[in-house]
Amino acid sequence: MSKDEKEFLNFARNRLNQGTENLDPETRSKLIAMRNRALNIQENKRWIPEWAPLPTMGLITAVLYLVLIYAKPASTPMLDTGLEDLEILASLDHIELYEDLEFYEWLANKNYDAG
Amino acid sequence: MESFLASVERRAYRMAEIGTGNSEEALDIVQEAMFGFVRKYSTRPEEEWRPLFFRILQNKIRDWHRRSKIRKSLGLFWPFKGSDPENSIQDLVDTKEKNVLDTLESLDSMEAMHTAIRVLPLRQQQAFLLRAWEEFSVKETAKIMEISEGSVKTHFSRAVSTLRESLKEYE
Repeated sequence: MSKDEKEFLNFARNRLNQGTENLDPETRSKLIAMRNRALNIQENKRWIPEWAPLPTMGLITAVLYLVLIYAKPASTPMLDTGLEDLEILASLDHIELYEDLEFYEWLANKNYDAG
Repeated sequence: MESFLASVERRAYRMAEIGTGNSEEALDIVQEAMFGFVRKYSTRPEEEWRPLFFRILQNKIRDWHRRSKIRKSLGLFWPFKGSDPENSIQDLVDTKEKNVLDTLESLDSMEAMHTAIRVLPLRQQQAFLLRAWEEFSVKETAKIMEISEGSVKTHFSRAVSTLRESLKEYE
């Protein structure tokens, strides 16, 4: 490399460095914000290892599978009860009638025994 | 990591700004480079960070040029080319580049340097900035640019010769 070329490269480097020192405050603050967002990504990455999603997904799938298998028989009567309740609520009869149903049954049996 | 990013962010922005001729696009490119670098390479040894970061940055700048070319060529078939703001920006950059050598005399030496580098073909720009400014070796520059060492030397020497000619009044 000739002396002239070295001098030119020094001149170029100085001018380019000058260009980074003279950045406007808005651009500077945008760059700082970007840097902080990048550091957040790094922080999150540290807590969640790269291989983590695979076993996690496997575990979630296994749990869902087990829940679907074992929860099915238990859920059937609950569904029926739910529908019965819905029928009662939807009917035009007074709700008090259903609440006192046991009393009416007892009364009917008592009258039957007495009669 | 924070001090590393702080040490390269401004130069990265200037490189992207020279490469695209647009400050907003340059900020987007630097952001993508930072995020990509942190996601992929933050666990690598620190001495590898600088070349890796600049490789990502230069790839992003090249991608931006490819996308611009595609947009420009698609724009030829688009009837309302003039109303597309992205085309307008690119046209503005092109017009600026065409007249740039005529206007160099009116600029201060820093602006003249940026403008003269901006006019160079992209590969020459990258070779010059990486070799002259970042002071990477020919071998490192070749790795960053993903080309041969011979090509780096050619691009660099052409860039220096053009820039010396354009900027002889400022030396």
